[in-house]
Amino acid sequence: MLGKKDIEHLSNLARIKVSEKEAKVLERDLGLILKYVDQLKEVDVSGVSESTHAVEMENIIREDETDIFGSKPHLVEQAPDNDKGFVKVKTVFGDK
Amino acid sequence: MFENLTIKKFHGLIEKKETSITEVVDLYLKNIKGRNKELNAYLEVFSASGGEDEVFKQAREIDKKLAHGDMPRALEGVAVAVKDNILIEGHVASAASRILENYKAVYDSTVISRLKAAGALLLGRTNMDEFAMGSSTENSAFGVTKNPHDTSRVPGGSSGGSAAAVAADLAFAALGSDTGGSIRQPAAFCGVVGLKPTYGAVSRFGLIAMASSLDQIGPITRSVEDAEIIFNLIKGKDPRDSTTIEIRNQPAQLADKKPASIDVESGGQETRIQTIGVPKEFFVEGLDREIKNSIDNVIKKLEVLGYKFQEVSLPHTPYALPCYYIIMPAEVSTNLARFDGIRYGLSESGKNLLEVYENTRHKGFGKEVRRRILLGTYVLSSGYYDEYYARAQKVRSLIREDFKKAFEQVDVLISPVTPTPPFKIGEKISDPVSMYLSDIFTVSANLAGIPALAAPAGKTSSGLPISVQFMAPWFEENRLFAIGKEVEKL
Repeated sequence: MLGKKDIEHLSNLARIKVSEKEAKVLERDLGLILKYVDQLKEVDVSGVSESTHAVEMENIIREDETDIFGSKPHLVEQAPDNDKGFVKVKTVFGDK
Repeated sequence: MFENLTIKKFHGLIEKKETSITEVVDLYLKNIKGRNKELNAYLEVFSASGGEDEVFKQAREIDKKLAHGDMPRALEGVAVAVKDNILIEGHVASAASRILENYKAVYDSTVISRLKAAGALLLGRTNMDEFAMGSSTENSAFGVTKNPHDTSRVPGGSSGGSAAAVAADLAFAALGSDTGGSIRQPAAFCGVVGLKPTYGAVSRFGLIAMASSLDQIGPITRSVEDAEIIFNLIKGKDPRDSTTIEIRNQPAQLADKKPASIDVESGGQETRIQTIGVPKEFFVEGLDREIKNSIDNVIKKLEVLGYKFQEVSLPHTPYALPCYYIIMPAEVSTNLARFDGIRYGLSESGKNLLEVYENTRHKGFGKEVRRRILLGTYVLSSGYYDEYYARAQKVRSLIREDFKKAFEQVDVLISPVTPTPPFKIGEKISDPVSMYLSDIFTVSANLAGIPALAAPAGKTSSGLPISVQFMAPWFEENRLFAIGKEVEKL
């Protein structure tokens, strides 16, 4: 069902590096799982709407008021690379 | 004196000065020192400065206050173990993953704030399957937890540490989370009570998200009454979680149904269960014979007490598990995208940003987590979304309709929790589908959003726990507590 190219594509989308050996195992495992969930094709879903929420709810709104979160420095300090209250990252638009 | 200690009994003993908070807390800490190394239920017991257990210090302070005549709060001095995916300010919350191994929470989850305000003492964080993915706690990055009843067997998962802690008297009660059965199945495997509340009854603010439309935090306790007390404390609308709903008298789902004889706000005083539904699709081939016999036994005894039983049908039951294994991984792939080595947690080096992401996530996530993220990515990807995810969401609507129709005829449903008694460590770890089948009776409740309770119902011939599950309509947890208490007395 799933081939090597599919696993490569998925690992790229999910931003998870996958080794050759792992890719082979994943091909098999994901294949087995997809085969199992394929049963859903038997169900007649004509006219049925998707349940996008677990419990039917109306629009939940609140006043657009700001509330200061007191621990901002702690949040930034958790970043593996941070400097003067900012999170540091590698160049986003750099060369690959 | 400490046999089968419940919160009410405990507070009664405190009032009569037959024991103190410190004495009981000390008992749990001694038990932990004696057994945790073997069981690995706790990943960490919280210690205060000076090396003393944090909770011991707090216990002494509470005893002082009570001696001065302060009124005890609802959970005063109750020592609670917390699953490693629920944030407690200042403490590590790792979701049993290397990617968050040293992550310290910067705020309290809402449930923790509420427990603290009620006087509860937090003992430590318990082991779980990594990111709540698993049914055995074998997927933890920090070792498996053993079932206290038979240490060659799993405690269940993903809240295995919490269930084992309560079962082995290493805590008074525990918090777990349930996305597809992760409170109920380990509660069943460990012979304790576990409640998955209605979706929206308990705030998820501060819970490390797995599948946002399925997750709920709930109590794991030794008695149904204790589960009720803790539930009533942690439930309720939270402005920080827009999916929370205040429990009203007329739940929206059943507004057109003739109300059963209950008053939701009166704490179950007037809850009267009359008819219990037996969903035939839950009693099929593959259900362990001893489990079936235990449940039949419970049914017979409840009949003697006057409860009526009626067979009902939930025709889409066979599709619940495949439906879950599409929706859940899809939501997982989204929720775990945030772990990328940038803002918190593990960060692996790379020659560019993309490599930082790929290496961090490869190193930080375990095998099962990576598998489910990739599966979720697939079912959401262009070309496959309609075939898998959209279709699963429609099947989910049908599953919910099945329950709605059933609850027009009966007040609660009875079913097994698990298809088998606790299995051996290592038995199911190499076959993903076989492991997933452990959840076959629990996932429906998460998909439909209804509350469900697992309660002990007997033992196998070799002494392993067997439990029974009750399911109730949306926001009717009181019915679960009422029938659960009856089963306890059988």
